[in-house]
Amino acid sequence: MTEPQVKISFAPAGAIIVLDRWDDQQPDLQNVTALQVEPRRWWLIDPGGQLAAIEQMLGDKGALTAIGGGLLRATLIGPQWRSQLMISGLFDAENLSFKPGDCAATLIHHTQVLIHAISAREAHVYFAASIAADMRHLWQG
Amino acid sequence: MSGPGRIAGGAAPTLRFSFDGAVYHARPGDTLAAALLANGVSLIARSFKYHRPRGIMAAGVEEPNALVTVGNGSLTTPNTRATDVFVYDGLVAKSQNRWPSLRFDLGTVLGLGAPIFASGFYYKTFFGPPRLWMFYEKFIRRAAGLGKAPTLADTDRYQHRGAFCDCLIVGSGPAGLAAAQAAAAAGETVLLVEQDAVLGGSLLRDSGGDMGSIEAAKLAVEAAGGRVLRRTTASGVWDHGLVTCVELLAEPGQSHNLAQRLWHVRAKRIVLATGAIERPLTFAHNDRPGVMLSQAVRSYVRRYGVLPGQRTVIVTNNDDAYATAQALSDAGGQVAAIFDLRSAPTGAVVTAARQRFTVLTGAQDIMAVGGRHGVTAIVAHSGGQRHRFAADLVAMSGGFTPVVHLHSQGAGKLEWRDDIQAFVPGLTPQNMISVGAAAGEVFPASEGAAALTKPKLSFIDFQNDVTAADIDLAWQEGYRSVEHLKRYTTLGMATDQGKTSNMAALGRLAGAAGVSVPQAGLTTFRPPYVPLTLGALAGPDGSGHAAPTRRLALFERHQRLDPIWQPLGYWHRPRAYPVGGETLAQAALREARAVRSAVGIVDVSTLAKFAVTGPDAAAFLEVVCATNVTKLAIGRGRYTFMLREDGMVMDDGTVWRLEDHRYLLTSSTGGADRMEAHLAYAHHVLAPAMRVSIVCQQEHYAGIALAGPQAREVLAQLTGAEPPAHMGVAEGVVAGVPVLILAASYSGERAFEIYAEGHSAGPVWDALEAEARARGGCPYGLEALEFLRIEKGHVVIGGEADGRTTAHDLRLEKMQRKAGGFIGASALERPALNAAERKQLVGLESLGGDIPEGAMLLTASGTVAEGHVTAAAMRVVEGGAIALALLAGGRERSGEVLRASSPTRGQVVQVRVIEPHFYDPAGARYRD
Repeated sequence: MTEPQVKISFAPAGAIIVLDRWDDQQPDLQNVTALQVEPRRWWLIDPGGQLAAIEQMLGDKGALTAIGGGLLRATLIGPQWRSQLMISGLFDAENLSFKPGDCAATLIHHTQVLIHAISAREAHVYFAASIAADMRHLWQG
Repeated sequence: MSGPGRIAGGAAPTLRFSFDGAVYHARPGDTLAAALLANGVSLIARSFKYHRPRGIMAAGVEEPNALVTVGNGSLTTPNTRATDVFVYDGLVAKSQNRWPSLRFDLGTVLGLGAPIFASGFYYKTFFGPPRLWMFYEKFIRRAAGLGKAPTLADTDRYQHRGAFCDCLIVGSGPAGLAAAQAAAAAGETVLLVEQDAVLGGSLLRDSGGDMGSIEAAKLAVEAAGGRVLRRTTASGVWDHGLVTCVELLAEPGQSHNLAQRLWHVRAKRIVLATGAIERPLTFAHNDRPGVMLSQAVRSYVRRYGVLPGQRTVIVTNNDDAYATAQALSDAGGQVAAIFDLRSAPTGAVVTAARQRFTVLTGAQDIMAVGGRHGVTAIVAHSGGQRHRFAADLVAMSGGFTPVVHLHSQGAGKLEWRDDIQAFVPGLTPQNMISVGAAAGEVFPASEGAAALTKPKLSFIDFQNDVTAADIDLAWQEGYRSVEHLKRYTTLGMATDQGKTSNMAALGRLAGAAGVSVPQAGLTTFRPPYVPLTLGALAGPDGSGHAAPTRRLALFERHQRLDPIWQPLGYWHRPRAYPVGGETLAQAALREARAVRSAVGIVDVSTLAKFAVTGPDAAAFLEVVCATNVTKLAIGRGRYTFMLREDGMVMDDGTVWRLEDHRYLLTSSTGGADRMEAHLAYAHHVLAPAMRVSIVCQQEHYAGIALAGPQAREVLAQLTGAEPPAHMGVAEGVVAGVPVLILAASYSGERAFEIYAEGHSAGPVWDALEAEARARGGCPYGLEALEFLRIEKGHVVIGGEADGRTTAHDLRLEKMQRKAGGFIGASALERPALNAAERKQLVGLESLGGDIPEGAMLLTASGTVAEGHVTAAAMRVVEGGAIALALLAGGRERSGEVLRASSPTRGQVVQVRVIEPHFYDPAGARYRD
């Protein structure tokens, strides 16, 4: 079997903000990339200038906390990114019902990651910066 | 002409390989066993215990005899079944367990002693004091054994991979192919795995099958989005449809970018089409080279174009072996006779065979006759007469054992079938079925063999040299359980795990006990089905510890200083930064003294950090923390600790009020994951209505502790602002990077924890390091940190707070919130947690030499240990050994002199119990 050929690049994740709500309402996050990672938790990806508006919208119904300083983002480009994520992976990334825009919090190589499907040819994987060397070794040898 | 050889015609042997230094050629697709037989080589190995000459018995993974070492150097793979390695150009194979050579092995003298090397020989002979066994062991290991493990590091690469499917089909014989086609037609995504290099299973061996079904099934599976894996063995079935499969991407000993892949397959349903294993027959000298399983003979003839012998005698208790006679005859071999153990076999197969071959029924007293290296004739009684036939090949068939291993591993029950004399799959709690031969669709076989005339030379377990006499002896000596018999005789152990021997052994045991086979019992089938390399199990981290290595955000900065790295859980942290050839102790002492006298910096990035935010943040923290939180002013922090629900201290740290509703909670490095789970539990289970957000920021912030009498000046210099007072919080900028400054001390000196976002912390470290060095300071590592905290009397989680200590035991009770209401509070009322004799934190000072860590604390030699040393160090400036310890009733024992005894280190030292604060007990040094 031929191994998947995927171009992988690594970079600091940038501004990743955790949005927690303590009620069961869905926040209005139309103008920002938001990944729902728990029932009451979202990750805001590079919210930039939207952050102040989100904070105001949130009021005392939730909180914003930065976590991006310790995260890396791997960008996987190529149609085989799904197969690539099965290596030392536990999540069925090959299932096409996991579609662009979806995210999955799972483990790869014993480590917590968040997979964000961008398109048929691209996915982002967020993980702790401390394991970057291992992830590079795993994916790039 | 006699012996094995290639059948004329067919592909050219283009692959070059060697066996014991002799160079041969093989056809592409040949197994090493097939290639050796094709080249006339029938002596392959020496047996485990008696060094008896052994050849090839089987044609698959069940092979017990033909174990060889394949490859050279770091690619060396011992105990490889010659029947399960496909020849590649340049393959190097060597025989094992012989000296000086395979044909002339001095180890055969052990065979002369076979009568005394019976079951339990070692247990009966090599008893006595343990040291004598250590002496014997060297010789025993040298005399008996399999291949030698390579000493070089394994350079192969391995991979783990997940896969999901609707239907996993194990085996690509006719039943597996049919199941695959049906599943694909039903729209299921199928994963079809086949341990062989080609699909087809028995279709490759037997004539008359639908060869077209192989490609049809493959295409159907792939068209439905499924996958077909060759050279992939399902090695274990686990709960909930998880099946582990090992894919060989390279043959043993073969250099390849990726050698093996371990698949973790999660299947909605599992179809086991694993076939059946042919059983050997038990008769005298049945282990000689040239005695083979009947279906294996057919495989070599039909699949590989190899005639394993020129003149064959077939011995069987079933109809299937008659097809082997046909195959041999069709290939130009001579079939001298067929000995059938059944007294009156009927049926078309037998009737037809009688027209072509000599068929002798009711055969008994069978014996393979031979020279040193192979069979030359076979003798048996039939019809009251003794018959002898010259032969260089014996094809035997004792019936068929369905491969129920995976079914059984998956908690499936087994049922006995008298007609085939074997167990078949029964009920299973998993969505798993067995089909084809694995489900018992095999030829019926007659029950057990007649009495053996030479049980000591009639082998049952060929790999472990276990004879029928060994099983009889074990029974006579009282071994009734099949599990005990297995361990006493070594039956069913080693690389083949009794694939060819278990049923014969059970039959023998049942015969001795006068019970049926199912009454005799069955040993447990455990994964893996075939031997796996440790590399495949370890995966891509085979050279590490099979888990990630977490690097600090400031790793490169530390690496420049060439530190001694210390694994701490998954983290690797600098232990010390030796300079000029310093030892660890010298470096650590220099660094600790720099902190006491000037200033030092240490990486504390690994501390757990949690942002706790929301209107109920303080209330939540008072659920988790056993100290007061609500009274904390904005911009202030305090030490805190957390209890488990049983009242024991589980972790400690600091809590800081950054804003009205925003707190930062820190806790220990080692307990970070545990604390994250604990906080989630407290929030989601104990306090779900609280309006609070808890977010782990462990890696968001890299942390640097700045400590020492000049720490305040260093920080003021770098920030241009007055640093916060002890236990105060401030924001600032260092080297252009925004930082959060927490004025907390672990070392006992004025100190600050300076946090910057992980990706931008490098310049902060650089600035602090430069300023510290300019003032005579330096970076310090964990060892110096340990010296400093021991001298200060700070507890560490896992050391003094070892999961068995309360806050009172650790002298922290004054900080504990009197009003309660925190996790673990109610448990503290248990009388046992307030007993005076509990082990409590004390300090020790040495009256002699160094205090060994872990030493027992005794009142006198030979008395019961009353405590133990948790951490030892020396006074940083003054010198002199000190330690922290947990001592029964320790709070009331100051001044007492004890013995700190460490038998494992061979050290005993007199110590005096003192208060556990060796340095600045009033805390004057860290307050402005």
